[in-house]
Amino acid sequence: MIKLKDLSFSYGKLKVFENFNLQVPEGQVCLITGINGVGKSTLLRLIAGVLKPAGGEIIFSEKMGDDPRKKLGFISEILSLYESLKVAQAIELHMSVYNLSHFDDSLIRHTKIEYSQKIKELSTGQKTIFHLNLILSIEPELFLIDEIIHSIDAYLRRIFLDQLIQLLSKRKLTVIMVNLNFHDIEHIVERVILLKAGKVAVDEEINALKTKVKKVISAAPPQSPSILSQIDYSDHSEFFVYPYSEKHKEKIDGEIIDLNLTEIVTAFIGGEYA
Amino acid sequence: MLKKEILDASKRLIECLLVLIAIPIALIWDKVFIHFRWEFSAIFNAVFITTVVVYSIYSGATIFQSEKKDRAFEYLLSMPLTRMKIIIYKIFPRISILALMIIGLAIFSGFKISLTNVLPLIFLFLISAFISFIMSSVIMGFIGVFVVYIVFHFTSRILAFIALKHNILSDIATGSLLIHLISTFILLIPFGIAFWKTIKNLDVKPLKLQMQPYYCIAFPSLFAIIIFLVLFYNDYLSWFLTR
Repeated sequence: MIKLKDLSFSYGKLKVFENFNLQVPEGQVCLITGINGVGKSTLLRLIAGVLKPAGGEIIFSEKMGDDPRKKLGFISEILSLYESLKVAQAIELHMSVYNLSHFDDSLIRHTKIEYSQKIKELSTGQKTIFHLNLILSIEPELFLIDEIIHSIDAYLRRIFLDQLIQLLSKRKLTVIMVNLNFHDIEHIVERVILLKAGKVAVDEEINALKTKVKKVISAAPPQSPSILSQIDYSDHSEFFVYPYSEKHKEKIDGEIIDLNLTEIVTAFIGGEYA
Repeated sequence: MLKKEILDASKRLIECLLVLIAIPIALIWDKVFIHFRWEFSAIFNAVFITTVVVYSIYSGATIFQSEKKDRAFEYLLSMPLTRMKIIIYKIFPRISILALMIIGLAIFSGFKISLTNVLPLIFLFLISAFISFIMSSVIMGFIGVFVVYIVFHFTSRILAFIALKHNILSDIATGSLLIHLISTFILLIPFGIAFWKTIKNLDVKPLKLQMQPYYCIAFPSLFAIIIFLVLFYNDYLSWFLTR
């Protein structure tokens, strides 16, 4: 379990979070989304301990030990690693810092990464897989993944997600990920959190969210529920509504369509720009 | 981590050893153009001392160079290392190589190892490490160290002048060492505190947003020392000229 309590953070004068609260239970796969610049990556960095909050606290489960960083894996969008080191040296450094006696390099071998290569010579995809391999070696309890998996090719993305699924099936791993593209991860996400102006605007289990957000195709806007966003065409409009329930069905004059996660989040984010 | 830092410190040493190229250049220059008949040992000694001075500044100024260049601050800070451990891992190999260079200087160039002689080198190393955060590049680091070293030099001089004027120092040798120590600490302590406070709260925000300890502690102290030097400079100068 991880609990963010009254967390405050700002970049200079720019306030990002003020008294922000969030709780993620152990073993949950949680997706954080929102418009660009809302603080998604900042939130992950605060949890990872690479940004220091101005106020509030982050409470980790006792399972994480005295220094939570020992059991915390964090892949950020900038893929921070010592790029001038060779792969072998980076592994050695990682093993010495985390006090590891063994390093399973099967993932590296899958992706044609040579031990003698410098990290800066690796492609973004290879770097991501290499970083993932480093993280897997520490057997993390909490895994933070920033918007990186969509900048890598389809093959490496599959390897990355397969590893993640394998890990989730083996242990009660808590995953918090930030994403703007949800097609690949829809089947593993359990909870969706939408950030808006430094606050949690939507916090729903994915199945609940799927029943509550619908697309209505009609000529006129529905009276209820609220419209998140809309797309206008010459003869009709598409209205994305939330929170929808069965009682609205009879009042809506139009076709009601289920949405996938990508469409749901797009509807919410579209509403932010409207 | 220590191994990586030893590797980093050794790389800096190899870069500094390039200064030794000045030896054959000076010999050729003398033989072909100026005919001063410089002796090899004289050139070697001067260049070797310069190399040690350059290393002491360069190794300090580049203490977080790999993190800055590789954008690896995030990786470093996400690792389970205390800030104190990070500092020890970074300073220990660099100061060890500096110590070896000083021993080499004593063996090959007749450099006398004494606190008075070694202190300025340690001062240069530490001050360049302490200001490395606020300097955007290594060249700026060298300029910054040069400015602080001038302040250090005049602080020693003016403190010696005050001590002699008021007959505080009975023994010149001990007095000189004491004044060097006082000048070193006067400058190192505020910069050291600012450095440590910055390290302690360091995160991946832009460095310019994390320089508050320098603005609140180091710079006001430096400013106060400069005011002190300005106040006593005329008295010191007239005493120095009549000596």
